[in-house]
Amino acid sequence: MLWQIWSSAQDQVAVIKRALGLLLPGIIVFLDVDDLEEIDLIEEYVQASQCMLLMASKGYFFSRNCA
Amino acid sequence: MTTHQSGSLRSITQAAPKSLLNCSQAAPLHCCTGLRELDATFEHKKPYFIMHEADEDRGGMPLLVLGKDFESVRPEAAAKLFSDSTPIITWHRVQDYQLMSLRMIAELVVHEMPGYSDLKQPPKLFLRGNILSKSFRFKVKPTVYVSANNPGAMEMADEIHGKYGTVGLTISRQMPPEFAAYDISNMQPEEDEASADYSPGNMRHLLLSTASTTCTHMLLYLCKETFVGDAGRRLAHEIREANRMSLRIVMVHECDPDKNGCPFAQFFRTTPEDLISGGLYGAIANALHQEPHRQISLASLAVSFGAVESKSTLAGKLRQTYSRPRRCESKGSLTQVVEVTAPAGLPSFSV
Repeated sequence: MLWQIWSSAQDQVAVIKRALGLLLPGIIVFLDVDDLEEIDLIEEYVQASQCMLLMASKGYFFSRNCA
Repeated sequence: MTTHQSGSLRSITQAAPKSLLNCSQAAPLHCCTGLRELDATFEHKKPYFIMHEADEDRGGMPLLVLGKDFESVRPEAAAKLFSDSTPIITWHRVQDYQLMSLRMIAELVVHEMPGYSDLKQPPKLFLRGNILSKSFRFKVKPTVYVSANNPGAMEMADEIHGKYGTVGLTISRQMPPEFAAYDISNMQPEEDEASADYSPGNMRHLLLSTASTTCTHMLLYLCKETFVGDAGRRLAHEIREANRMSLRIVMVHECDPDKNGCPFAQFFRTTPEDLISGGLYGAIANALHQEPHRQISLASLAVSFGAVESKSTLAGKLRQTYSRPRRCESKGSLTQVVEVTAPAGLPSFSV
């Protein structure tokens, strides 16, 4: 169930990525599901980014298991 | 999309770091990857903003609940993430609203670019086709009846009148004289009302035998309190009268929870059955969202009242202002058109 909710937001973030590419020609948008090659390099991906967009939807802040 | 700042956007983005915008979604913060992304964002002092999915039918949740969830996991990070200085944009799926959300993201992204980051506010961007950059006029000036039995409708009417009153939208708070008086003792039994024929064909027939009203529309403002209690019964009676008079009913669905907004499904529980079966909700209600998207809602509502796009654009107005008087006279009819400008607080568009 959580995964389905997740997929909904995933779909919308893909819309945002595509639309921003059209609205701001030349922009490079890093979307983890598309562009993440090595999970150990997450910090480097963030460091190489100019800003972060966080899509807040159900389940995003939910569990305390990994905190 | 262009900015009013000089310089090539393309060259700026190419000179930017490896990625200009990092969209974090696939790894939510309950998983270690999501938390690592967030920690890295704070550690490297990267600017961040939140896109909020508000539609609860599509995985959305109130922001307050999301904030509380995260607070229970990481109170310090939650306080930082949801501080007042964090830009939060509501995501929409309907085109005009979605374009506004995208434009707001784009403005924030551009603001982080070299050459723009020194600006106190994000640069204002112009998006072609944006409904807010259009000017409207009414071919037929509408007079809208707003019922005192419709809680919140007066305030809503003030909102729309504040924006479109100058181009001819009139609000009438006086019940059309053709409406039969509401008298509970003379009311038909509910079964009779339920079987009454309020179909448009029958309404047209009935209209022939009635005097025409001066109102062109009736506003039906749908919120938590609509069709509740005695006022609700009176409102239902007025809607039946409006149907009888073939007065066009324009519905507005309040979506702002701070203004008694509620899910549309609630109205199928509170609205009298005869109105539902008579096709009241056959028409699409205008959604009235929170600011800043509310301005789009008001523009869409104006279109429902018959507003059409004025051909007189900003550039056209300037041309008209500075053109020779002879040319102005030849287009005298256009001088009747009054332009509507975006209200204060909204981005001032630049071309």
